[in-house]
Amino acid sequence: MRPLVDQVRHDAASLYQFVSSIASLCESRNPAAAYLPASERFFRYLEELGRATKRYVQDFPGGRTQAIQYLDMRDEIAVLRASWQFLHAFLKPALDSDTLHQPSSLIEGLTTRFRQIDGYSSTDFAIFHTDEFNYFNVRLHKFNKVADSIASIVQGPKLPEKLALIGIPYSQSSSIFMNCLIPHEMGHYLYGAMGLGSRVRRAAEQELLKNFGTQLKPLDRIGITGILTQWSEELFCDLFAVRLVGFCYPFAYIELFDGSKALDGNSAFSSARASGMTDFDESYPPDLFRLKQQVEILVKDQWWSDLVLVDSHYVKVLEAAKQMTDTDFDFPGMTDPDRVLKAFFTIVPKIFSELESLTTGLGSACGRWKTEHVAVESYLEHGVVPSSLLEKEGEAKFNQPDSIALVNSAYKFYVESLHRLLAHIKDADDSDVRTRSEWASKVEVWTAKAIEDIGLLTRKGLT
Amino acid sequence: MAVLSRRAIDDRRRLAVGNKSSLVITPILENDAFDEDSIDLRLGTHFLMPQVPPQPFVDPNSPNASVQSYLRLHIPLGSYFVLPAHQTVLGATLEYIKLPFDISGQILTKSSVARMFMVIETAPWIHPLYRGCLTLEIANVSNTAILIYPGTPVGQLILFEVARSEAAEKLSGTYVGPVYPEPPVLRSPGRILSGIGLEKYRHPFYGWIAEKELATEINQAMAKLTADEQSKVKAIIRILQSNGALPSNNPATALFK
Repeated sequence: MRPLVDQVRHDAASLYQFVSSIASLCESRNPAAAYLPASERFFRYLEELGRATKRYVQDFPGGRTQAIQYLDMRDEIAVLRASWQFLHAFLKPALDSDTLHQPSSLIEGLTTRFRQIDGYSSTDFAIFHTDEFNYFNVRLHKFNKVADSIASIVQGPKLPEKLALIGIPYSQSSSIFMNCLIPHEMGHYLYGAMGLGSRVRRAAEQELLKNFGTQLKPLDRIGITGILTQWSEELFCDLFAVRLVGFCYPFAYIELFDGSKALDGNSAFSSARASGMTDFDESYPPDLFRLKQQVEILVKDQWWSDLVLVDSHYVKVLEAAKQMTDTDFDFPGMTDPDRVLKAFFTIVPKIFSELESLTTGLGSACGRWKTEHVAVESYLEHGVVPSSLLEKEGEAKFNQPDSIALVNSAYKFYVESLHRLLAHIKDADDSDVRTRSEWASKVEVWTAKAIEDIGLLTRKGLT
Repeated sequence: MAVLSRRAIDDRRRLAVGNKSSLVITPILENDAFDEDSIDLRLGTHFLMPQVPPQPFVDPNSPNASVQSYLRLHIPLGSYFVLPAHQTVLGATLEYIKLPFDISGQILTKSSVARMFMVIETAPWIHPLYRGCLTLEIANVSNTAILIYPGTPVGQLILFEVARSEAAEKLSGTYVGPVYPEPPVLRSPGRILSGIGLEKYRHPFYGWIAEKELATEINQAMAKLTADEQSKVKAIIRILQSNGALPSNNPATALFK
């Protein structure tokens, strides 16, 4: 058997090779691919962390001379390897998410809007791809814990501040409408960054105590508190998303979860068809409950009065959700669900107030939407990118729509008025599914182009 | 056919987008983009780089040949793209254009770009009612590589009035609304040439093909078979197609669709 120092040297070399194989992906990334600044920040961080790790490992044995020190190094190698294995999961999906494979202009528009929140003016969102059809925000406390464990051993950099990581399904890289779900994940980032979880957990504990007294066993209390906290976080993120981007979020939500299955043949709500959409489970509140709360924000932010006039079954779903009462919801499989739900319903107003206090600097985009959507829709109807809207016929003055107002206008056009566009196109059959899908994609591309143009025009200060 | 003056261009831009006589060019990033008789157009950020196709030539019979022949690239504003000597790339204008029903356009290489021996357009004519970013067939015809910066002015758009009164026509869907450079829409030469009465054309792999004759022969042969036999033949064709023995660009394949 070779001496201990040599065994550990072997392990160190093995780790060096492993870290090199990951870090080199970053360093030698495809020069033909372009990335948004947030991704570049993430890659630079991983490159520096990789270099620091390799420096530390290649120094072995350094000043170590004792067996106990070699064994300590062996433990550190184990920690470093496990931590790099964790980081490994993010690198390739982030490299895949170059500007051709993510909705770059939408991300930039959403980031600009997010940065209007007090204290978040420099936040960046790095996008990576997920295999599952799911959007998610990487829990930064977990990521930081792992990254910090590397940094503390190798004296490496910490994850840059105000850098969030959001996963999107790889197939949705160019979609605008479906990616209106991304603001929910931005909400998760804000929720974590503001430490809302502990405040909500305390509120949940208090409400459980009020509703159950001392009847709950300690383990049940912990479990149910966890459930209420989880529901609250999901609810907060929904409300935040609506506050950030308006009704395009619930529209995308309805589209993703096929919310229209709750409607009958007359576009009226059918409780029979909506079965399953009213049941809480251990992770999520039901769709109709979530939509009902989203409508509350649409009302508060003054979207609703105009939105109800939109001729779309998506709006019918929202109207149905709005009409629902607490007693319409259930938590099957739970002992004494009524009291659990009652406790949660008492927390809901607190979530709303948390949202209000966190988003004071974030005005509603509704005002701009109300003044701009008719013009934006007219441009889309005529197959024109709506980035410079003629203010008044006969005058050469042009306005750029607000990006958020633009996305909402485009979504409204897509659900309500695609036929108006098709009416201008030779041989385009409104009743043909493929044709509608093809032209809906064009509307998305024009919207993305308009957001890009608006960014340029705003930078130039031109009107 | 008169070239539109700046004043006439401005008048057209002041019309509502739904007006068939209106002209849209967006974004206009500098007020001096307009000259007395032309408008400067900038290079966009998306490119289609020709790449070596899976076959030794681009076969217009192959449905994916057009897309497979290019590599898509995004070069953000501020960054550059190197176009080697004697190489070509498809780009697009940054500006999205909507032409009125009675206006044609022509895009020309800006003289400062042309003097670098770079040509941005070889199919410069734009028909009335066109809308979209213009695809540019960029060629570096010089002996040195050229750095190309998206966002810089590369072309001049000149507009011409066309004497026509019919404003009610619909838009042709094929090229409505491109934002990125468009690969060519390839059409089977057999179909095109049959329009002028030619019944045969020569395929590089399969020799002389008479599509109509072939179709008639196949249909006659199939008609002699029972339904069961026909489905067996179709199953064999599917197997041959799926393992590549009967490629999708074989004209006979199309006859079985």
